Amino acid sequence: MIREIIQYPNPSIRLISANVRFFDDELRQWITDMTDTMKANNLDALSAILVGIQYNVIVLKEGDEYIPYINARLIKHADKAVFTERSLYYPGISVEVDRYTRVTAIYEDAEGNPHHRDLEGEEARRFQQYLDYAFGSTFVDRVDKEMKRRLDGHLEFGLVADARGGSCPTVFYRDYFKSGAKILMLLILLSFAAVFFVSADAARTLYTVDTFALAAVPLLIIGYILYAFYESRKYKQCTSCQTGNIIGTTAILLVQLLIVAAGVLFWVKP
Amino acid sequence: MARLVVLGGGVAGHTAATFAADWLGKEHEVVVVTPNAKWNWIPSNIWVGVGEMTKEDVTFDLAPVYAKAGITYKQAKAVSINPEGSATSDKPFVTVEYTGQGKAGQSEEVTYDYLINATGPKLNFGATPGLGEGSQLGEHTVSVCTADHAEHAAEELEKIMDKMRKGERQKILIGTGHGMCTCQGAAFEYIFNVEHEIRKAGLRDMADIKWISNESFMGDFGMGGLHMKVGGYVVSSRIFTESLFAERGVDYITGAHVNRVEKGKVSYELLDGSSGEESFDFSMLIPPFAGVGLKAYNKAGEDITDTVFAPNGFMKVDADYTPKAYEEWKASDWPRKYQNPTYKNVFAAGIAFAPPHIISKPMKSPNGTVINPTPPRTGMPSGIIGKAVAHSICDLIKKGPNAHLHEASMAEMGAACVASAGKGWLDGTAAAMTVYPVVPDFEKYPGTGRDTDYTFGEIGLAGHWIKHILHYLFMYKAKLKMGWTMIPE
Repeated sequence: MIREIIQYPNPSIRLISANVRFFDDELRQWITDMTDTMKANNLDALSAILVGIQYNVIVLKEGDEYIPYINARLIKHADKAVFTERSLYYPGISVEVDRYTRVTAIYEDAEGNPHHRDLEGEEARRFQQYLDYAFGSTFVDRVDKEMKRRLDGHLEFGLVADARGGSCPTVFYRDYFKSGAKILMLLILLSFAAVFFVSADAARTLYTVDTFALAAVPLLIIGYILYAFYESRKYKQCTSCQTGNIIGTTAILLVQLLIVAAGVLFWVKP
Repeated sequence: MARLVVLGGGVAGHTAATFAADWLGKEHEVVVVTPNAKWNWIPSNIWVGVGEMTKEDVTFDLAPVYAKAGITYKQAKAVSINPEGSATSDKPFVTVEYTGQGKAGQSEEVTYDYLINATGPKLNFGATPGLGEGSQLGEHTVSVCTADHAEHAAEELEKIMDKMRKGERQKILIGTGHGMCTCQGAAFEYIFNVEHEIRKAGLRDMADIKWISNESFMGDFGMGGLHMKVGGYVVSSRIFTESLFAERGVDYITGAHVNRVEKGKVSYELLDGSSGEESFDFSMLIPPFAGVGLKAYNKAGEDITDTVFAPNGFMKVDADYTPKAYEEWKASDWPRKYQNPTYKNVFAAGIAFAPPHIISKPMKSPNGTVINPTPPRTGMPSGIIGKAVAHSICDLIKKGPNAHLHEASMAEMGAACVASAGKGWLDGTAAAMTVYPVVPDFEKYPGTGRDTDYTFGEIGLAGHWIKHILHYLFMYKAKLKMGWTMIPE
């Protein structure tokens, strides 16, 4: 069966492929599928994760044969050279990558028998590139910071889009609660100046409005906390310290609220 | 009144003993038998090994802490266990040999109602010829496994740094000293702390630094690898580690079983069956771990060590020890209660219990040499297991023999670890990593056996701060200062 090759920005590419534990019919089916996909797309190498199978299986075309490499590791490496690489995952992009020109791989065959093999030149490069897929990486992880930055700008959703488990939103909804609280507090602050210009009657109305606004701010803060924690669980992958940010933001909002509330009590209150 | 005897005062033993003493109160007795006079926060030994901390910074005297906690402290080494008692008494006992308290060399039989074996590992330097003699460090390499070893390592490091200052190029080799080592994390921390110190001293161009490890790929850490977050990007630990090594100019050898150490030279065998040699001027190689070699005797005085302990010297607990192939491993093979199956009042915690099998994929060279990391049991699981075992025993004492035992399976437990890659408040770096579960559960999480959302790492300066804060936090906790019970494991 020909399988679909996953492409940017599908996040599955970041999954670390599991070791194959069972050398059974399912594994043989995967190898057949991968070979079919290679023939259909005229490919000379394929990693299982590229067709959505999260197992450490690589198939390489050697001459007219399609050879499976299971649970491969690189044991020896020597001499580096710069190669220009393309990736099935990022169509239309090519980058220069440092690769070893001589490596020794250990692997298992489709029956689970262990083997090892020395590879050189282009074969060595190809093996390294496809083994990287099996370890949850593409060539973007092998380039320097400057190139990474350029790729980030070039790609439609940036490099983070293919991060584990999907992208991070640029706008967090929790921030609407925060902005709401801040706008209310700003309005109350404006009323501090207004007391100079209005009549005594209007000042009393202003005070009533301020107290209602003051009461609304803590509600917004509570809303912020609840929604923020819900959101941080939803986007666990975004940053590891969202909890810290939420607590910090809440503390700042509470301090601001206290100052504004003190202002209302001692300044606006007729 | 019941007596609980805890063998060992490391993370697991100390946690178990102090919590048990707290929960049991004055009516019952808790005895700690440990050959050391001082408690050591082992993770910080890395910093002693590069001269950034002193031995005093990472250790403290146990006697006053145990006196305060109401724990009977015997500075002694456990030699054997008689779980059925002797010919004259049914009371089980352990035979201990004093190493201090003015009674060095004297033997004593300490009876117990409940026993926790938390002796930790024997540093099996003898497993690789030249690495050391038995449990003693050899003359060719250094170690950071104990505070004393780390102090010695710092002195040796200073010597080669002096040579570098005089213009002599030096070769440094750091990693694992045997095919079946665990604790790659400690070696990983040490190599980058050494690199950091040498760079700080302006001598980086005078040093060739190389890593040698029994992991089959970089970033395995004995757990099979994980995702790392670096500067906003997510990469796998293999690519992350390889990049870090390339960035710091450190070459590496993986899948290696070091089989001989000579002066300035190690010989090793690789997973493809080939062999190689590597020269060095300074080398820190972690030894493999073994059980401490406790013996067990039955009532008649016959040796029953095989019944109580696994062949590697670790204590048998409620795990499934049936030999199984990699594809048949199950999370349920791992122990839950850490209770010895034969003697129900004997428990094991921390490194002292025998794991049913390893965690990484098993690997062998064509010559049949096993080269794979053995299961890491870092401070966090050790502490959690120690506390669970203490809880179980307290319930057994207070609620009777039918009390429900507390469970802490490593297949249901996460572990966090912070690996330092250089010390400094502004220029330090550390990788913070969490793995869940420690032991892969292939049934619950098909494929890798891990929950990818919680198997994750991040590297940066903040990680170093956390590592440094943890040092003070755990020293504080171990000294049983105010609020210590609130600090998690």
